[in-house]
Amino acid sequence: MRMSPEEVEAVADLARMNLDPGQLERMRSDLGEILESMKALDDADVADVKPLFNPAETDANVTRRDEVVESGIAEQFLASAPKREGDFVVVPRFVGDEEEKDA
Amino acid sequence: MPEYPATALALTEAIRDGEMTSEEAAAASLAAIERFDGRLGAFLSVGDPVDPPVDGILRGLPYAAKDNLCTRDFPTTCASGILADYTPPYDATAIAGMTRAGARLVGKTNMDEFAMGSSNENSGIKPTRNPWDLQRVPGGSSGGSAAAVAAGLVPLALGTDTGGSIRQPASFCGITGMKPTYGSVSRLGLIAFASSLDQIGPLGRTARDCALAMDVLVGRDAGDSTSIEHPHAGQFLQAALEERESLRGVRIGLPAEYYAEGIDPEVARVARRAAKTLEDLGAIVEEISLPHTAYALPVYYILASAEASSNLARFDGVRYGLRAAADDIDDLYRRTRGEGFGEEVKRRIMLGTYALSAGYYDDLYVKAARVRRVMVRELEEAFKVYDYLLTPTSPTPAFCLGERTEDPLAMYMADLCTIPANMAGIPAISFPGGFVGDLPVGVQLMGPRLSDAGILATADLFQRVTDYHRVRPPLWGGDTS
Repeated sequence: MRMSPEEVEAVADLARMNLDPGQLERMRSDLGEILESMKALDDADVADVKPLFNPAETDANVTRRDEVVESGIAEQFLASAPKREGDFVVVPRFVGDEEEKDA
Repeated sequence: MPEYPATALALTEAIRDGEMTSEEAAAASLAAIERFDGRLGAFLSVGDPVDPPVDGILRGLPYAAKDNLCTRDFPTTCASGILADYTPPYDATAIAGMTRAGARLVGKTNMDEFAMGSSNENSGIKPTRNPWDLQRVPGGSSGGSAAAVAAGLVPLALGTDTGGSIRQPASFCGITGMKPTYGSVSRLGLIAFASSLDQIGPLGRTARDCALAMDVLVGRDAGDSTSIEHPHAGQFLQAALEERESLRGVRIGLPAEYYAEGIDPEVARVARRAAKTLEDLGAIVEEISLPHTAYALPVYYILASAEASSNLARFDGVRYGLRAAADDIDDLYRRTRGEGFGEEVKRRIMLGTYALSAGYYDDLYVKAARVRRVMVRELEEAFKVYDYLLTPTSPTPAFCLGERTEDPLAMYMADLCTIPANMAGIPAISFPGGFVGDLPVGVQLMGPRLSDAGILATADLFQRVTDYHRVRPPLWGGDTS
C-alpha cells in the first residue's frame, strides 16, 4: 500500500512536524510497508464487536471537585519555560496583523 | 556483609541488620556504575542520592529508574532531543513511593526515545550494550534498566512496559521483570507513550525482588484516574515467600501460537523445558490455541501509535523542553517537533496521525480496537480454564547492534509475545528460563487481571528449583580495562 508524496506531506502537516525531503521519502516507504502489514486485519470479522479502547473499561466517568489546589511548584513550572515574562510563558504572537508579528 | 551486587532483598536485610550502611550500599552502586557504565551505556544521568534514607521496607536500597519517570533531582529526557536537559518540577508517584519506602535513586537509565523501540538503539543519546555480549542489544525500551541490573550496577530498577518494554529486555539480559495489572501502579509522572497500554514495573534479579518492589509501587493514586485498589497491595513479597511445596492443581496453558513460526526453535525449547519444570512441581500443563494472537502486532502498532500521536502533541516548544527558533507559533511547533524528535518517534507519530485521520479512523483505529476486544475475550476464555499461560518472552535471544535498525517491521517482531498482555491489561512476568548458546533467554508467565501475586509466587517457585537467575554475565569481575 503506497502512499503518495502528497499524502505523506498531508499527514506530517496534521502532526505539525517538519520533515525534510529525505525523511518524507523514507516515511513514505516505511509507512507503506507498515500499512501493508496491517492488511492482516482485513480478514478479521469484527463489524459487530464493540471497540475496546482501554482495559480499565468503565462506564463511570471519573471526576473531581473543581477546586484550586496549591501545587507548590508553579514557580518551577514557569522556570521550565523556554521563554517567560513574570507569570507568563512567552510565545511568538499568533493573532493580529502579519506586520505586528514578533521576530 | 553480603557481596555486592546482592539481591535487593539481601541488601535491605543487611542494611536493617547493620551489616552494611546505606552510604556503603550507595557508594558500591556508584562505584560499579563508574567502573562499567562507560562500556554499557545504561545510564543517562548518575548522582549521589540527595535525601537521607527514610526508614521503610527499602531503607538504604540504591536503585535506578528509566528516564521517562519524572524526577525532581535528575533530568528526565526520555532519551529525546526534545527534552534534553529537562528537569521536571515533581517526582512521579512511583518515584515518590520508592523514596517514602527508603530507596535512594542513583541514576536514570537509557531507553529507546519515548519508549518506542525494542533494542535501545532508538535512544537519541547513545546505545546501550548487553552485559552478556557487548556487541548485542539489551532489548528495549527499558534496556538501560535491564542492563544496569544484569551487570550488577544496581540491585533493582524501574521500567515501563507498553508492549513488552520491561519483559523483553529482562529476557535479553537474563533478569526478572514484571508488568503489573493495568492500573496497579500509578502512571502520574510517567511521560505517556500509549496510555491504555503503559504500566510501570520493576526489574530485578529475582521474582522476590520484583515482589518487594511491587509492595511499594502498587496502590491507588487519585492523580491517575485509571489506577485501582489492588486486593493484594502490600502482600506481594509475603505471597512470594510463602511456604509452598508444589503447584499441585495449578493449570498452565501453552498457547501453540507462541511456539510456532516466527519463534526461534531454541527459544521455544527453553520455554517448553520451563513448562516441564512447572509440571514436575505438580502443575497440569496443556497445549492450547489462541488463534487471534496473529493480530497482535498490527493491532498494537495502530493503537499504540494512535495514542502516541495524541500524547506527544504536548511537545510543542511552548512550556518546557526544546524550542526551535521560529517567526510564528505554527512554525515554532513544526520546527521544534521536526528538530526534537528522532526517526522512530516521527514514524510512529506519522502512523498514528494517519490512523486517526478522517477517512482512516474507522478502517484502522476503530477496527484495531474491535479486534483488541476479540483478543482480550479469547484470553479471558482461556483463563476460565487455565490459571496461567507460559510462553517465550521474545522470539529470539538478544540480537546484534545494527541488525534490525533498517527494518522497522523486523524490530517490531521482538514484541510479538509480550503485546497481548498490554492489550488485555493483565499481569505478566519474564524470568530467566535458560540459555541459547551463551545468551540468556526469558520465559513469560501471564495470568488473569489481578493475579500479580500468583504470578510472582509461581516464578519464585521456579527460581527455588532452578539456577538460571543466579548466573552472572561475564562482564562482572571480568576484563576491567
